[in-house]
Amino acid sequence: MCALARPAGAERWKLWFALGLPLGGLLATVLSSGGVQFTTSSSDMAQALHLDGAAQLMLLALGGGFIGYGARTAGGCTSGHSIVGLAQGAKSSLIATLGFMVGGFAATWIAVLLAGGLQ
Amino acid sequence: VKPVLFLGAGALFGFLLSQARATDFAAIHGMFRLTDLHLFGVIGVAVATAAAGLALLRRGPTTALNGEAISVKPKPVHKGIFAGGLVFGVGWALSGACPGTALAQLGEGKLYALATVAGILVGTWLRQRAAAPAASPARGR
Repeated sequence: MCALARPAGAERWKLWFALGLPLGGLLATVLSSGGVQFTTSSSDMAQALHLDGAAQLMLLALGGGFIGYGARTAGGCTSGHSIVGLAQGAKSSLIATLGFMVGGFAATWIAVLLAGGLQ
Repeated sequence: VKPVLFLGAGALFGFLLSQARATDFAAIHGMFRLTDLHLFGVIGVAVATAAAGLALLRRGPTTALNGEAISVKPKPVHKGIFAGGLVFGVGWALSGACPGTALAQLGEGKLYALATVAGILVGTWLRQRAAAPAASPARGR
């Protein structure tokens, strides 16, 4: 956490890049809908998994934990492995991307079944 | 170092992720349920674009904005990649986000993505703590 708050000089650009991401999301939203609506729960999650606000936040935090742990272990995420890595033809990125997809399919279908089947 | 340029590059990436609906829980859920396949197309186009960009880099200037030489090497294969990928995929599906899109979601006004971002930080920290300080094979991006 300290490394995150005080990145070394050579790593600092990554923090600026990360700060740009919400700016881009804001810009896209303002341009397409004329403004930003702040929401504290996801209607998509409610519809797909029948979860309300507090349960959504718990699932998001748990999912985020898997994302951080998994990306760190695999040495990259969907950007690093599935886009740039695959574009390089890297074997490691192909293995990681297969993992992303298998994990994603499995978790989605298990979540859907647990949430009450396939109406 | 030129912070504004990096901020702008991040903003462009966030903008495109948002426009491609990669920040949309329904789009990711739909991809894994095979009811909305457009994100497969997005990934495919992004891979093709990245391949073209990498080809340009190989023949063009090789110095990054921070003055370092640009070196694009495939990440080495190690035992944890598939398992790590599986864990990441589970998180991707459950939260409808990846590290980049979780941050872009915040800018879209989806404040619940704060939970996702907090989870990502904790997960990353736990992984670093689990790895022996001396030997950390997964020095990721």
